[in-house]
Amino acid sequence: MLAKIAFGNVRKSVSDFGVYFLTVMLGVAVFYAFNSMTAQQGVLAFSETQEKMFDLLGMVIGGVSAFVALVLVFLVVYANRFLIRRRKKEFGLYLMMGMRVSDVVKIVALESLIVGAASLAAGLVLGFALSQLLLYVTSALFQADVAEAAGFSFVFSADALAQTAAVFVAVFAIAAVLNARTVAKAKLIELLHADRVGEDMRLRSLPLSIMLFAASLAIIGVSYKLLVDNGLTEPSPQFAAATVLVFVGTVLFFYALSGFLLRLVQAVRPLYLRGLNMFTLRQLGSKVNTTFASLSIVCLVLFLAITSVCGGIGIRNALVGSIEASTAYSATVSTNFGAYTSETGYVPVDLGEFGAFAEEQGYDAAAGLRASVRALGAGDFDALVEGAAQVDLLVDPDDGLTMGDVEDASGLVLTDFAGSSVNDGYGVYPVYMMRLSQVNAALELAGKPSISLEEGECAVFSDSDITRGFYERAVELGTTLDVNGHALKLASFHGDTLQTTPVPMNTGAIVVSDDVVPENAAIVQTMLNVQCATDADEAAFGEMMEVVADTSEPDTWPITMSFTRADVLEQSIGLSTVVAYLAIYLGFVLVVACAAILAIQQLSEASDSAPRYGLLRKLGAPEGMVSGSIFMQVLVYFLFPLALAVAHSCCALTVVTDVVAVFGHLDIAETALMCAACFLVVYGAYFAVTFFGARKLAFASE
Amino acid sequence: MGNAAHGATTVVEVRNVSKRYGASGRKGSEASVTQALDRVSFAVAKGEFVAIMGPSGSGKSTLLNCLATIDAPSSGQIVIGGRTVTDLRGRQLSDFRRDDLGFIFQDANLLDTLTAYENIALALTIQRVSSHEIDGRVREAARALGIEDVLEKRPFQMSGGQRQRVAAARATVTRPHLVLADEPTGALDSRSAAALLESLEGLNARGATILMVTHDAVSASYCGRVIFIKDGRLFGELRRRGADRSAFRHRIVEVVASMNDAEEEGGLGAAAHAVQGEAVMLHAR
Repeated sequence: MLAKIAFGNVRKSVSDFGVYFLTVMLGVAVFYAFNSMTAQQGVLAFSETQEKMFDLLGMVIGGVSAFVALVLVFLVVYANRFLIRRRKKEFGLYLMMGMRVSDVVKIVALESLIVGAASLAAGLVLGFALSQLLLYVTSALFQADVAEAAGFSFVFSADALAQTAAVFVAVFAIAAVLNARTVAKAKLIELLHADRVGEDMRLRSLPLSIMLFAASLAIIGVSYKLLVDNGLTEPSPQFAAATVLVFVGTVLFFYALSGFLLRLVQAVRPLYLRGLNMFTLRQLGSKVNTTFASLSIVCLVLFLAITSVCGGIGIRNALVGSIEASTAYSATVSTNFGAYTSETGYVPVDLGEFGAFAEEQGYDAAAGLRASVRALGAGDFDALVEGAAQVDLLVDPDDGLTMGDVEDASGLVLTDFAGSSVNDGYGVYPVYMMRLSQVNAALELAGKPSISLEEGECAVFSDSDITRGFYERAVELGTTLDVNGHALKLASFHGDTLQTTPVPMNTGAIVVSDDVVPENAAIVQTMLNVQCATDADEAAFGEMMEVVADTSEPDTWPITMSFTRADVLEQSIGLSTVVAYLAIYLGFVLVVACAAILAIQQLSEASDSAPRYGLLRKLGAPEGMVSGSIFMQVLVYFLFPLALAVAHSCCALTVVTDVVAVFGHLDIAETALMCAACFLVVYGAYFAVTFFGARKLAFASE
Repeated sequence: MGNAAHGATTVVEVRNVSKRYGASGRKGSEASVTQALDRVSFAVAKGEFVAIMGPSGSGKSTLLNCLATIDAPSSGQIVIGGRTVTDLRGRQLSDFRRDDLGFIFQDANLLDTLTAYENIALALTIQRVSSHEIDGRVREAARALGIEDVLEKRPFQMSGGQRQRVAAARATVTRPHLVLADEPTGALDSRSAAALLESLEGLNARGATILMVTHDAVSASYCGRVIFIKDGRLFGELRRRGADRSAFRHRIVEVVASMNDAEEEGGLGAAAHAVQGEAVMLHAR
């Protein structure tokens, strides 16, 4: 009997349950798809390094999933509560007819079970489809690592399925308990008059409203300052404090918002007493006690989404962008001969017999490698190499130029440009010299224009964002450096990377005419850049260099590092793409979830308020005026969480930018524009759907 | 009949209004058609306080809806304040409701999110009355109805009678040509009902034209004239002509009783005859 009533109710109010159903279904689908990501490992062909990275990713997903689960619990409980509230009168009627409270609770639980089971099943089906789609998107992003299993391969993760089912059964249990409590606790009279009792808006006085609002802004401001000042480099109490404060500030902001708006507009009589303005404001205020919590959560989730998407796209762009710049050559073979700081002076690396061989070869890497390859019978160096250019990083062992010297000469301070991302004591680190002839040969090999220096001039190369701004300014100022007794003016700045490397880390090296280089200059590092005719030659060259690097044969060239372009692409793009992809994926899911929450909320409110709109129409308010009021209400609901989230994100992203600067240039402006456009499309679509839906509901009573 | 206007300005003129519900336009399907109003005609002069009485199903609600321009008659004309409202369409209709009519509903129908003050002011802001004029007019209307002390309260903080008086203030603050009241005392206890009716009398004394639909003889006895309607047709009318309220109520009760008798006699012909007889009888007094 009870089951019959429950089934009947679900069928009857399918549109009411529809909102709940859709929410749970999307939640399940997203949760499953997200958690089954690690199962893709079995289908996608990853290299060993990527395998390790993907394991790490699995752990990250585990952590993020805990958060996602929390969001989902809120979503489900929220959608459920909305449903119960709408049906209080119906429950009152059951009790009036003499049904026991326990029976009504059973009906509610049965309804939840029916809808829950249906939406869980539908959500899982959608989740399978979504994870399948995800697999192809992922493999498409890993151009080099497309799935080996040709054609269709089905990813199914039993773990993810069990996890999803477990989480949602728990969620339903929580929701059922809450519902039962609502029904059991409620008094019959309250249930019957549920639609009549307007929420009492605790109106505060004007000064208090403004004070609360100002306090929320102040708290948010303090948290911004804490975050910007302390950065993200390591977990610190300041970071924790900033997190707590931004949360508190956001909640307070939405708690005070409608009261503040109402009081503010009330103070301006002509505005308050115009059209339906006072109705609109009261509408917003009437729901403050239930909406401030959800608006805060929506805002914080949007913040997380915007930050992760902007950060994700930004980091990927930065890495991909720098990879293009740092893979100008088919391969680079480098050898470290020594190190220098102004404290320790020049410290040679003991390369033993290999070092002696290098000296024997006159530090000519191409000649040394050619001889080594021949001696080892590893192949033909000249058959694979189309062109080669050697760049040596040099230092005057007696008096090397240091970062501190450049600061003194220019009057600039590096930390003003690089912020908190530089280590203390950077002043003793060297600024190496490069010979103009070698640099021009390397530029030419990369197909770039060569540079020329006048008498008494030098140029500076840096591919790191940490020092770029510093040197550019130093060039502008016409800084003159003392190099081996020559006064050389910094004539130009160049951002090119003169090697192929996964991590471009040249924080500054000056180019000088060959004749300025002192006789006793010591080589710190030698880089041999080569160009190969084909990818096959490049791969063969890489293998050849590995043979040379691994051999213990004394008469061979010492190799510290050797990278081919393919090595770099595999190492860097793979992980960054996955991370960025996940960030974007998670971010967009969250944005959609937020927009859905707001949409549900506004639509349900519009349907609750339908009699009010009907009354307004009876009083002769023109349709346009009523539409305008609905528009304003929906706009406030959609705009304020977004605006505050964008503000939070801007703050967080400035901090993220500092961190990312170590890897490469993060173009946040371009990224932000791109994201803003995407968000506006998604958000705007939801806004439009909500507005038109709400208008339809409002005019339905006519 | 010409006995309604008495030379004063006519505010409402109902001419031969009929309303049929159901499958209209198909000949020979009379059975499925309900005749809610049948050639009803009457007029209301400026400054009158008129009650429309009839049992439930008599068509009085349909008549009110037609007057309120919420419903349109199948045939006939309604002229309010010189405008033929039956010819108005869409936007003109909502403008007309906004500018020329005031409504008092059975259940106050105040916006629960707004204070009493705001509920009254809303009628003016919808008309886009300039803001510095609003405060004075709201307070004036509140004074006329004795609800100045509840202006800052929300509807659920007020008594039913207070709510109805706020609704009355909202209906009159715009100075409409006609105030339509639909069973305004229906949900009130007798003391609150009396207070409200006295307030309406007061508003009428200040010049408001009020048309009230009721099935309660006591409520009707506050009016200057009562129009009786039965089975969609005009049954007759009573004028107070300065009579004492309880005496007037007595006469109203008599007519209501005779309407019920006609019902019991049954048969359309007999009822119609009775209607004619009553009308003549009433006018003869």
